[in-house]
Amino acid sequence: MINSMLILALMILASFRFIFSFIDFSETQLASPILWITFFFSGMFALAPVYMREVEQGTKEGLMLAPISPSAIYFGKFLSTFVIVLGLNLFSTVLFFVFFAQPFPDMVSLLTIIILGTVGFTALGNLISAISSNLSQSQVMLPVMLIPILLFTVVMTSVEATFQIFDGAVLADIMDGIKLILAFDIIFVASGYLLIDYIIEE
Amino acid sequence: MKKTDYLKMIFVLIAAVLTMTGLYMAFVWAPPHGTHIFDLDQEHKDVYLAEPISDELIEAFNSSEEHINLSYNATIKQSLNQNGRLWLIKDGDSTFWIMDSDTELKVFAENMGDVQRIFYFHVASAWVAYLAFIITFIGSLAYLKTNKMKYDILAFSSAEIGIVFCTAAIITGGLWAKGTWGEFWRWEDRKLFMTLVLWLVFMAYLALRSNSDPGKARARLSAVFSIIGCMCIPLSFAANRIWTQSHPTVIASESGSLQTSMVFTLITAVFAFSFLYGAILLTKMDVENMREELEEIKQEIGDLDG
Repeated sequence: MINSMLILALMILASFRFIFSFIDFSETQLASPILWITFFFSGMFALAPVYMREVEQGTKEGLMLAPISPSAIYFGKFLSTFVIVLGLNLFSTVLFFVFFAQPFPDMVSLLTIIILGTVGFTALGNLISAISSNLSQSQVMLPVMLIPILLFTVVMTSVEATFQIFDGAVLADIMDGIKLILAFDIIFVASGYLLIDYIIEE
Repeated sequence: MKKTDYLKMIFVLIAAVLTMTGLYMAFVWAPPHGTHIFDLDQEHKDVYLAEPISDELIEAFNSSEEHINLSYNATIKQSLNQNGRLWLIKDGDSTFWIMDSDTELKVFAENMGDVQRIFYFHVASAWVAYLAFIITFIGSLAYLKTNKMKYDILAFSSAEIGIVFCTAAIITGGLWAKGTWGEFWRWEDRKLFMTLVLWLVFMAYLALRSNSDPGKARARLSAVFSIIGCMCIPLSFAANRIWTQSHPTVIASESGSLQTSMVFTLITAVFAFSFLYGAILLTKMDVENMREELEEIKQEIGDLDG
């Protein structure tokens, strides 16, 4: 499971490397978009089975019968996927610097943005994954629902901040971006906490 | 007849009358010409008509090689005077305009002609699209609060109509932009971007509906999704700095504002489209209610057979 996710992240980065092999990469400004597209798509495959697995293995009823609130289920899933996706993103980041000869930017701010972006990504991704697990064609419906909402909020803001970091910014310079991503994180976690009841209940 | 049937008829009648009036106003009454659209950087909005324009400036304009031809019959040249570089603009009526050189010139249109008339349809459909999506949002909230199917039907019907009008707004906007800006789309424009994202979100909403079995579960899931969508999109646009503003913020005739006849035409168009939306919404909700009744009757017949 986790193995194949790591391999997928490797493959996405490798495909970017192949595609950009004839471009003088040191001249381009593509570092931050490449990084975040890799995070987004490899993370999406990590999110897809979170609730699907419960439905397929028939453990959903067991979860619902357990004397815990749906919010607790949501937070449990949120924490576990957060750890997985964060590990995946750090792995992709290391690979990125291996594949693309970039000068190292300010690592503290880069890690901050990656961690904050992953919080928002998994918070909303879990909610959407829970919705899509109830649908037919759920594998297709997850990206269909995730892309318009997530790409234009957390991912786009993170791409902008990461771009500044690769441009030489330090933590103090990207405070605006960090505040914005933090706001999205809070909104997504809160909406997940409030709305998961309506999704899981039968 | 039910009460809503009368309401629907009244809405259709008002929409028909207003549409006829609006068409008359747009194509006969309101002048197609005489609209300048300046679309400049937020920071440098000080466009001014230089009066009087000196002969030297006109000569400088005529002798200058460097010029940019815009999509409309206006010519722009750079020139020098004692204040530094200037944009010199000569439009179709050989009126000269002059602008600071640090003003980033984006759009200049004069004598827009029939292209201007698309504007009435564009603004009205964009307005209806936003209204429809807001009503979907309210309907979804009301459904989660009360658990009544009628709110789910309201939300779904409104979203479907909103998609139609949003598509119309995007297409007419593209045509209008081709005539004014010389290109169909501008990715750096915030309003265009926001409309496209809303369109995508509600396409996903409709895909969600069509991939789910009718019933309480579908109503809940789609309500949750539309609430998340409607909540996030405006937030992300309220707080970003990625886009520069290039939507027509200044729509001015030479006197400095949209001409009165055009304002009235625009208002008529907006009201006509709003009533049209109301009529379609009521019809669509009737259809959805009937579909639900039909399902119930089928169930009963099935029960009898069994």
